[in-house]
Amino acid sequence: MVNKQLLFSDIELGQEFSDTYIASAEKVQQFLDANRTLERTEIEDGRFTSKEGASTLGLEKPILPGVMSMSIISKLITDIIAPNGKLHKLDASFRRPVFHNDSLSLSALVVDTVIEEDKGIIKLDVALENDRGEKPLQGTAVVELPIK
Amino acid sequence: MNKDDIDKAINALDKAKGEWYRERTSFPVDFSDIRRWAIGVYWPESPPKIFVNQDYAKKTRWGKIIAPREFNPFAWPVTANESNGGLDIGLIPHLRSMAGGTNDIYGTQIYIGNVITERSRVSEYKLTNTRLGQTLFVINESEWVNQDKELVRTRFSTGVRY
Repeated sequence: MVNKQLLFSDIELGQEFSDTYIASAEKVQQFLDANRTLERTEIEDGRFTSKEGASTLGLEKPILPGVMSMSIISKLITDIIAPNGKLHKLDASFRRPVFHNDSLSLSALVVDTVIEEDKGIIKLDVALENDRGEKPLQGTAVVELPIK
Repeated sequence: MNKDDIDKAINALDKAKGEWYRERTSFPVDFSDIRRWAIGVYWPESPPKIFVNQDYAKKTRWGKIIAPREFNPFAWPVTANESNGGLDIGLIPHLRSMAGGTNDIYGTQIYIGNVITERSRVSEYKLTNTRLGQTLFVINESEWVNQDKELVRTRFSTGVRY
């Protein structure tokens, strides 16, 4: 989803943006390869790459790193605001694990629009939802969109 | 979590709390770093032009290429030891860990040529009883600034240790 530039006046309360993402094992491995900061956790138990590693945590399948879930939702927000918008804050809680090959629905719901110091500020409720109806990531974002 | 582990963890956290315990500096961010990152994130679709087209970027409010907000200037280290980021597992060993959440506050954008310095510290912690038994919630603060000391990002990561 790559949109044209949205303006503050284009946004309405209750408007929802969405996308989809399949968290394949290949994508997780690519993320781990780039982001070797996670290696120490991975070495500890293998939770991101193997069924055996995940089972040490009582999980049935390997999971995504939390920061990968953050990156997925961050991309959705970038798509909404780019190129001239700005992401000010992104606050997310990891409520449940995201498992390999989960089919995810990404959403960003507009819950507030306000002009602050001549800036068009939009507040969003963001979430990842899996195909079991669970929301493993829920949070809020504050973004700025051009007024003109 | 047994009492010894709790005592060791609390002791380590008390010593570390508020102290910046790690600092690292990125290589200068290259246009190619941003371009490849954006291509990788959006593949097989085309990435937004703000990340890959300099002529287009000149006409935006930024006036030049910016990096995507999730861009990591510390990605692809030669060895894992160079990238000891995020929650410091070694600070409180022997405890299982899960990511609890992340709160990012963004400042200036990352531009081509920027050199990012990161430092981290334990911001706060809380020991409480959950269904997992005694559980530690440790909030780690990680700060990125550019070469002009402008804030790029502050990340508060909550680690759940049990």
